[in-house]
Amino acid sequence: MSTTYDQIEIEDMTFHPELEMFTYPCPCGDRFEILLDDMFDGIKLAVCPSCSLMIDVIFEVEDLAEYYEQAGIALPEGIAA
Amino acid sequence: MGFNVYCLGSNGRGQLGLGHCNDVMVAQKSIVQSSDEVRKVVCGGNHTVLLLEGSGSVLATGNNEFGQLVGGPVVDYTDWVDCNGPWSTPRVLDVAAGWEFTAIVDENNIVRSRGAGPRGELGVGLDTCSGNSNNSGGGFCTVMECGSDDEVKLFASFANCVAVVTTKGGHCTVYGWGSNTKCQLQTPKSKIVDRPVVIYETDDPVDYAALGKNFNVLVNKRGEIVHAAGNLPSGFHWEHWKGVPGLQVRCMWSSIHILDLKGSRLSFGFNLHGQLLDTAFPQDMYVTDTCMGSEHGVVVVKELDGSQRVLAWGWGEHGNCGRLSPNQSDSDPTSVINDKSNEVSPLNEILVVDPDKKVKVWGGCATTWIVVSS
Ligand SMILES: [Zn+2]
Repeated sequence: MSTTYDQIEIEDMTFHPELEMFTYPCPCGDRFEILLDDMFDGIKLAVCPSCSLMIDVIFEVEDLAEYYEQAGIALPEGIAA
Repeated sequence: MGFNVYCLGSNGRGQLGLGHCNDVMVAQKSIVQSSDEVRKVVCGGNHTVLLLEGSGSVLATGNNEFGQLVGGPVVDYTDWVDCNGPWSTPRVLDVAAGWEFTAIVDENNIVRSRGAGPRGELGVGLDTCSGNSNNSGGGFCTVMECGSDDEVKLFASFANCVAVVTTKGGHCTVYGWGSNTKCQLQTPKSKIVDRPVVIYETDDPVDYAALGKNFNVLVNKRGEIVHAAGNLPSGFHWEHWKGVPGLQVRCMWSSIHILDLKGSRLSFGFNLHGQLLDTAFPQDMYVTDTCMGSEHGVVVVKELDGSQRVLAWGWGEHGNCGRLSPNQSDSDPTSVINDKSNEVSPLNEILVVDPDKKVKVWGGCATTWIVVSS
């Protein structure tokens, strides 16, 4: 059994191109955060700065390409464009 | 008539209306008013909106980053703002709040929305109003105009809003808008439904909608579940409940809680933080009111001697389920600040109320609201 609060698909996250970060509402009122580059490095946990809850983000590395494009930064090597 | 509003819990953006932004874990008096009654307290991620019964007045506090409360440059209100003036709406008939938005039914039976709606939460088309994020507009968008004889009720949670519109003849149309990634509004799945769509229609009027994070449940006036859609908690099959009258259905973000006529309580959904009440709740308690927050619950129970107690359970990391120690006094101002000593709360007493008072409870995102009327 997972000990994170929830599993959230990447399409349900909000992407902030200027911050190169995804967020998702936390039941405490703040937002779970995870950086695009961290996801590329294989991290799947998004954390809330205001409480102890965390979520697992469900995605494939290939899903990240469009967000690199949105942020206007070059694709890291390893993603097929 | 008059009332006192007590609150506790998450307060990072002033959503408790206490004049500061500290989380508190002992119920604090936030509003004292000598007339009128509270009809509803609704909560977004970080804002709170309170509707008065008789006057149709609205008070609001908390995060205003997207104009979810009023127009103007104030990002966070830590004290209550009178909204009817700024809204140019002398009388509000109903109100609902989701993550970063507020919706109302005004005195002309027009449904209006304000705040941010990146997932269609404003119900007016993404192109029309959701660019409101710089707070410059400050105004309402018109979602839909209902007939002057219609009864219109609003419900919201997270990224969805639902309007139940019943004509005088008894025909009922339920509209929904916002996120549809879990088919909570309609099939097929779509990311966003940014204008009202009919999610249910009937001649057997719907009384209310109970909304979770990614699902909604409709209950008719006999207390029967008549519709459920979205990513429903596992183990909950609404067909099993079809035709069972007298149910009270309440939802946290990730769970459904059903109280039946016999006083049984059944819950379905996440339980990592003790959210499910059937595991923690003595069956012989006489419950007079129940409400759910994002991941905690609040009930009012009446004892045989008439005394009333308000209890909370579930995820209490922000102090929203109270302090576990028996010494809950608000006379010592330092002791009310949340110390995270009650993160997973058993059924816990947060307020004792005199037998002759009327008590109602509401829950927000880790906030707990208790209204005591004289
Ligand atoms: Zn949080």
